[in-house]
Amino acid sequence: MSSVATTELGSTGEPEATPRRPGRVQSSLIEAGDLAAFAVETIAALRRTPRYLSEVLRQAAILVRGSSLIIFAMVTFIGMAAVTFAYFFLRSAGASDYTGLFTGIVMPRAAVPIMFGYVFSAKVGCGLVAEIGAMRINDEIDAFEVEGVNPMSYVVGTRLLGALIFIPIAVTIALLGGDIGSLFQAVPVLHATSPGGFLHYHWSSQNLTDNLQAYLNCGSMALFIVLTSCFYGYRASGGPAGVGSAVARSLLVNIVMVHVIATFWVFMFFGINPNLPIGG
Amino acid sequence: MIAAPQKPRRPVAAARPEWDGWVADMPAYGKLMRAGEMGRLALAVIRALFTPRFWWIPECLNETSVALRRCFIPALFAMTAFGVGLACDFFGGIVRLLGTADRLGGGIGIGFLREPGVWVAIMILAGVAGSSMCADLGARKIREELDALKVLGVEEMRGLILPRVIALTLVGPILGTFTVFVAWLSTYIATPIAFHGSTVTLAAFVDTFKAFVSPLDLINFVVKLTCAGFLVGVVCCYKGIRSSGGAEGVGRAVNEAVLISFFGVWMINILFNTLFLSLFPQVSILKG
Repeated sequence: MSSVATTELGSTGEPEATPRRPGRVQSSLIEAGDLAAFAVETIAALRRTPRYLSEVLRQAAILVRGSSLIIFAMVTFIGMAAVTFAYFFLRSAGASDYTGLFTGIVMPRAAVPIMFGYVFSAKVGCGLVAEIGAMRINDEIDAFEVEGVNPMSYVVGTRLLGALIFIPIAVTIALLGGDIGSLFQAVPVLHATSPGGFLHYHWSSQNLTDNLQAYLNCGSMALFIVLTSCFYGYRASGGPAGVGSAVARSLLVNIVMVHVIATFWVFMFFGINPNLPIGG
Repeated sequence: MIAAPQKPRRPVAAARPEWDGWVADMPAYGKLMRAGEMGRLALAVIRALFTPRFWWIPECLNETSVALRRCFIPALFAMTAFGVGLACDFFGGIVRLLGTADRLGGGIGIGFLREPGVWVAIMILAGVAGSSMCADLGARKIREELDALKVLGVEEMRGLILPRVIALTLVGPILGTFTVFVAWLSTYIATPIAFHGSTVTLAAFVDTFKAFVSPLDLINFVVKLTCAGFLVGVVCCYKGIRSSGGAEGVGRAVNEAVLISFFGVWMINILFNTLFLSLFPQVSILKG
């Protein structure tokens, strides 16, 4: 972390007035403040974004075409992992018929959002940093400014709105992928239960609140990831090495924050009352 | 290219088949070619690991230390959030409603060893250490430093690739052990707060924990993380040394490296767990 942090953080573009470089904790705090300022600036610049509607739709189309399949595949994996754990844990208690109960509770509440966050930060987030960072290195962002186009509206704002269009589609795909993956692992692979029994418990143990929470959870993660990635791409400097380290740095922040955001929503929705359909 | 060949081989062009024409135009062909080259790199790494000239070992230890220092703090944050929030609050809630709240310690013990500890460790490993390694190699490739090293006579395999791959292979289990320990500790601290006034006591937590966690689980955990770390190392080094196309090329290389590692690691995780739990059913007997 140290080498990335020191090359990234000290460089503000102008010569340093103070000879002493900020320490690691201090520079992390400065970075967090920069990120918050960037987010506010982006939201302020969003009001001029609707005039670039075609670009918004193009960004959304890129996301739908490029990321739907990988999100589906990876969420299928976590469904399979959940069934593997649940089946062998419950079988030892003689309750392997209730495998569907475990997946029904765990998939929309925790597993799908976490996996969604991983895939979104790896596929979409890194891609955005690489793209915007390369634009910055090749002076394309400055060219936008010279042309009179606000890059915050045109480059960052359109991507944010494109992601906003993509989020409901992506979360629906992710939830479906989780269901299909867990069904696949439970019935044809492990022969845990009958398909009817699995689906009965799977659907009867989740309700609208759980799925609403999944949408909110994944949506807030995706917005955070897009903002962070645009931030690190936007401030990339120092040639190809700078873009590479910006991608690595954004991934660090994203992966840690995925866990924090998922935990936050779980506490918000189920902290006091787990709202489980067991035992009345 | 990858392994410096000792004896002259057939040129690569002659090895390509006749049906090259339309098949080579398909997008899947390039992906398969790259997958094959990654496999070749993995085999070359394993071969170079056991052949003499071990001057790469100090470099490998250096890389291991750098990667570990990069990963510790993110792993600590991620795992504490995961452990307290999802496991304690959530798994604990389920177990309490089922009326077996005293089994929380055991469930958390084997649960973290089998699934979430592995994911979190490997995601941090691939996302923090692997991606920065890939970015470093890619930037060197773009600046033609790798070619300069070759001209200077430094062997690419032992000088660059082997230490990094072996470093990530070592970091996998070490970081995983740290992550699982953090998870256990955070749940142990959070249990009396989250379950205030119920039957879950720290003594019951430790008691079922000791009864549940078995050596076989630990062995599975270490072997799985070693394989996953090796995969991450090979993918990140391959994508780094084969990156091209300026600044955007490096960014795209890191992106693809992380995505391929995530995908491969999840496949390894599922395969290992399904095989392990089917072959050793005695590990999932409820004890205590």
